[in-house]
Amino acid sequence: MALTDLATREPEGKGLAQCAVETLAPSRPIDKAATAQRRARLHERLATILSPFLLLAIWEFVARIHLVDVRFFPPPSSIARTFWDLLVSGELEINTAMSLSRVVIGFVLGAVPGVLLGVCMGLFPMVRAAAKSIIAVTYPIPKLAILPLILLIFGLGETSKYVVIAIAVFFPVAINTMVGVLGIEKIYVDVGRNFGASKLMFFGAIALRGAMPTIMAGMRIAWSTALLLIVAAEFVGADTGLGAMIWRAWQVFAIEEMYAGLIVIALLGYLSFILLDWIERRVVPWKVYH
Amino acid sequence: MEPKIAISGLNKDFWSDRQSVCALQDINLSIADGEFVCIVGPSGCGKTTLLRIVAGLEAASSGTVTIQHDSLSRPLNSMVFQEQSVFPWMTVRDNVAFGLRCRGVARRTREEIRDHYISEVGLKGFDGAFPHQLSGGMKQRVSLARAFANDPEVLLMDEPFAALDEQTKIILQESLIEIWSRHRKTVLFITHSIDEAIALSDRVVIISARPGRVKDIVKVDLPRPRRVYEMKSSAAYGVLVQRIWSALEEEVRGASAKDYRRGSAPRERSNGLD
Repeated sequence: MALTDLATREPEGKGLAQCAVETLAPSRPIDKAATAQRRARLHERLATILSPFLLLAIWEFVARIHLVDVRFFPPPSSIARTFWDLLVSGELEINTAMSLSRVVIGFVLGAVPGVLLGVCMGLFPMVRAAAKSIIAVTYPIPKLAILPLILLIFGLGETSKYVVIAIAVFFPVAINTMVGVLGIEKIYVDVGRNFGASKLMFFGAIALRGAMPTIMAGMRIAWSTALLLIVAAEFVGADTGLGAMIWRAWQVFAIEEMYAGLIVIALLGYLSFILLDWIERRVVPWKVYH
Repeated sequence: MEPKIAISGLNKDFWSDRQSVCALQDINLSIADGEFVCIVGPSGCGKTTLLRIVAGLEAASSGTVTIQHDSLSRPLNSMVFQEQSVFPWMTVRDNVAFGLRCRGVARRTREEIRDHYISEVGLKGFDGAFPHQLSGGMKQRVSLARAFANDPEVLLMDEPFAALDEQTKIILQESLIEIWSRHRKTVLFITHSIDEAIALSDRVVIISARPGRVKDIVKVDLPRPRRVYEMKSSAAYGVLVQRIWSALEEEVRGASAKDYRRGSAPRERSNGLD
């Protein structure tokens, strides 16, 4: 039995080997296509990374041969030198830290009540009805327009910066939270009721968790508004911070220093969005990311 | 013996276009402890409404529903919903433990019960998964585990397998039979499928087209434990299907004819045998 088994199996094995060879052969063009595709993707990535450097090189060149006015567009190399000097003197770090701490503190002061009110507005029609008109009237006021008033009330100290950031952050966070809670499907409320969820469970385990993707979207909007606003607020009402640094540089016409400030702000925006992505993946692990 | 669920003289009226529409009329039903009862009826007959009233999610217009509360530490009822109802933002673990958390069961006990039911519905190894990583059948398993883990006096199920494909449905029906036979909970199960009703239940309650009334009650005396496909080949099964269908047929035809007359869009013309 075993012997005949082996005997019949042998040609089968051969057949398999042949099969393998046959299937390997036509796959070669596919392999080639795959490497071509991979190479194309690599080139694209290189283009993404190199294009800013290319732009800088062109800028350097046209500034050196004075094709552009170096008073407005100093060559990148001299900006880099100034940047380095500011870094060594510690001025850049101090101003960055000042701006950042104002944004972060103001953000927390605005986002926490924003989320709380937003959830309440989503859960309770009465709260929603009461808050709706007030928000509709106050939200469109440009936050910069109330800066003078805030400076008047809270003085030139840190508090006025926290307050203006907090106000700007509060609205998008509150509105997004409400929209997020309202968007939670009714079935989950039924489940909560059927399983006897407490008010606290409704608030935390259903409303807040379910609205989190929309809340995070609101936080992003709020964060970029806050970055924009802190620079403007520091233009007029501060001695420290990146806004104040840029404003002082403007007053003494230290163009390179202005550029240094701009670079830090750009980097700050970029890095904070990477951080927000990271936070979102941890806070909303159930969202499908692509 | 006192019935576990007693529904008596229950009516439910809806208001639409300033007109009162009677959805359920004089429903009387008593379900014994440990009994598995299926309710079938044409679509729109108010069977889901009936279940939601028993669940306390909706109020009856008149009449009473009493669920015997034997152990006060237990919740009265837990529901398995038709649509996707597991929380997408919770892992399988947190979903299954939801009811226990609502009731404030101590963490140790909660975790023990939770893990037990996760493995009982066959989801061991998927404890940390989020619903979007699971198939439709697995999500309904989570929903079943969530209801069973809550250890209620009665389980209410609203067409929990209606959205699943045929094969998955049979597998889940068998899982449900198996879990149920271990715990012998009182179950009230809504379905539009005659096959499903016979496969699962001890008694099938047939509800008429709107206004929904109890038209007939058919005892299913097929032996347990049941295997869905083996059962379908038995002669007794054919007799039951025939009996239920003959009671249901005129209701289904009547319901769609009424819709035509009223000029509203006809509901799906189900042959009731799907």
